[in-house]
Amino acid sequence: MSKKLDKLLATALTPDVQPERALNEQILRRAKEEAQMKEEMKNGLKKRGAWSGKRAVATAVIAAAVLVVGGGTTYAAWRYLTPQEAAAELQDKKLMDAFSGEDAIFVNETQTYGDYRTTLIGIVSGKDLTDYAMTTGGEVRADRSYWLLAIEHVDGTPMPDTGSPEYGKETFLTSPFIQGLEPWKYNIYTFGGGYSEFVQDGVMYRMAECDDLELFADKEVYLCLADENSVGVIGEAYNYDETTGKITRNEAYDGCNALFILPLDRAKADPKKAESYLRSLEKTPEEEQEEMDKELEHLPESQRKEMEEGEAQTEALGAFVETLTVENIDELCEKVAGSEVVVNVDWDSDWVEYSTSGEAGSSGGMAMSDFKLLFPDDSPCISVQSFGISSGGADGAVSASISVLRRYEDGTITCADYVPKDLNL
Amino acid sequence: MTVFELEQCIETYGKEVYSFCLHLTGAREWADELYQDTFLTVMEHIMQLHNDGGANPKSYLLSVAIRLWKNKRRKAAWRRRIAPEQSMDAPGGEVLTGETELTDSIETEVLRAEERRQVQRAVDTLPEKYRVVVLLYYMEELSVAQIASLLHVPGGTVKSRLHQARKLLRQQLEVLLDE
Repeated sequence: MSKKLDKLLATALTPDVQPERALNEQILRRAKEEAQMKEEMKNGLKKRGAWSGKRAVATAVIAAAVLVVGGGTTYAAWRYLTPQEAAAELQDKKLMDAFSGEDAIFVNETQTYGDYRTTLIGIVSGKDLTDYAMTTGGEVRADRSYWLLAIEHVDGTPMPDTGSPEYGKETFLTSPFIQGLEPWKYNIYTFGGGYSEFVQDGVMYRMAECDDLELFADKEVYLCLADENSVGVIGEAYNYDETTGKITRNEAYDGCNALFILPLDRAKADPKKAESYLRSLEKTPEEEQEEMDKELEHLPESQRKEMEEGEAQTEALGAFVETLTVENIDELCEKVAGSEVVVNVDWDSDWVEYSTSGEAGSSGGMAMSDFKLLFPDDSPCISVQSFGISSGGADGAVSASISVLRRYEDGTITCADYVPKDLNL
Repeated sequence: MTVFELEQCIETYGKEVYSFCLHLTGAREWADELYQDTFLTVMEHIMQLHNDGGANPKSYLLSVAIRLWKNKRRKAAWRRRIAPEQSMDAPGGEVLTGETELTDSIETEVLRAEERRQVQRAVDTLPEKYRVVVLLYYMEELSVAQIASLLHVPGGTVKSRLHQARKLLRQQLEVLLDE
């Protein structure tokens, strides 16, 4: 029996599982990068002539990271989580597998600008790569790109944990840009972007995603990281060369404006699909309406009901506003106390800018109106400028507000907010 | 060690080291990580291998893998809680280990595959200290002396663990052994 067991074990345990080719390639790539980094460290240390031995190498990695302030550099980022580990942290098994596959690109490039050191760790593109697919109008956006960034404070203070009250005070924008496409027009907002993030050991890891970037691989494809989460920062932090279509960092920008060029495989470019994709981004108003309707269909019942109720209320208020005249407005509505302000009109001007920034209750703001058209003669008259519905409070009560320009008998023109007295919304 | 030497090392021992990592960790993703870290660690400490004067490179690679796994175990256990462990069985029930011999009939082939699977599962459920010895002995074909040297334990301990492992496996594989 013992020999039979030995035979069974020897047969069953034959070492015949080959590692994936991509895994071996990854090891060699990392080994090359590490060798290169060591070489760079060694050269740097020779110049300094201070440290030697293994301990110095470990210290030098940190020193080098600090020394690159204000510039971009490429070196391996061993102390960060791998994209697979980050995907595991986000409990996204499919994405973890995607980053272990042949299509994953490991960039490991660090750039330090402003107060932040940003490392683009890797990117992967393809179909159905996540357990948490993003949908639009009920349709899954299957062809996507996912990239992992590590963001740290240059001064070494840890990034606030996601559970900390400080979390969210520092905001970031990561977005792809494509050579030849205006970055403020074509970016993560238009490409259906999103992200998940967490903080580990003082490093913020952001796994961001958008529609497949490999379609554009025949052009330069960039990824940015700016220290402000708004589309406005793109125009401030980056330059767009209209002749070459290339995008660069704005050197004068006072803050973090990292910009990575993705090493995509040009063979994966699909110009026809890219063109069709870009066309799909420029929808006609009818198409947009159709898409919105489609999205509405897929909203949860409670949300859809809420939206439909809101529309019905606005419609009812609109119908009510139509019935208002200078004669009945005081009967049907109540003027919001303190909201009325006198408007000084320069009748020589066709369009008059006036302020409605009254006191408590006033909606406030600036507007332009053609008063000659609104008040063609000297008789008392009203003109509804805007109306709206808001809900709030613990009971979720709905309230309506109507902004009215009014000409009194003495010729005074005012702007005031009114509230319907008996309108059931 | 140069990158070229590392490449040769992977070429020569990759399959054996990877198979070992897979059975040691019990999951593809952990095996990948351990396998990668093993070779990168060896790359960093390769002078030790040269200085060993004729030491078996495979033994050295396996000893590094075991040492790294010991360090990683706690972390791995934690991570498994948030990311369910991937079975070594591929989707559809295909076993990832083992290339089948296509010499017999399909029926015999299926039975053999099932037999291998049962044995592998039995080994995978062994306590780690027994599993390591079984893998080194049967999979990596190291001698008791080599295993003792690699694990830094006396040869008698290796023999005792092998004996204990066989006893446990016999219980688990009773049906197979009685056939």
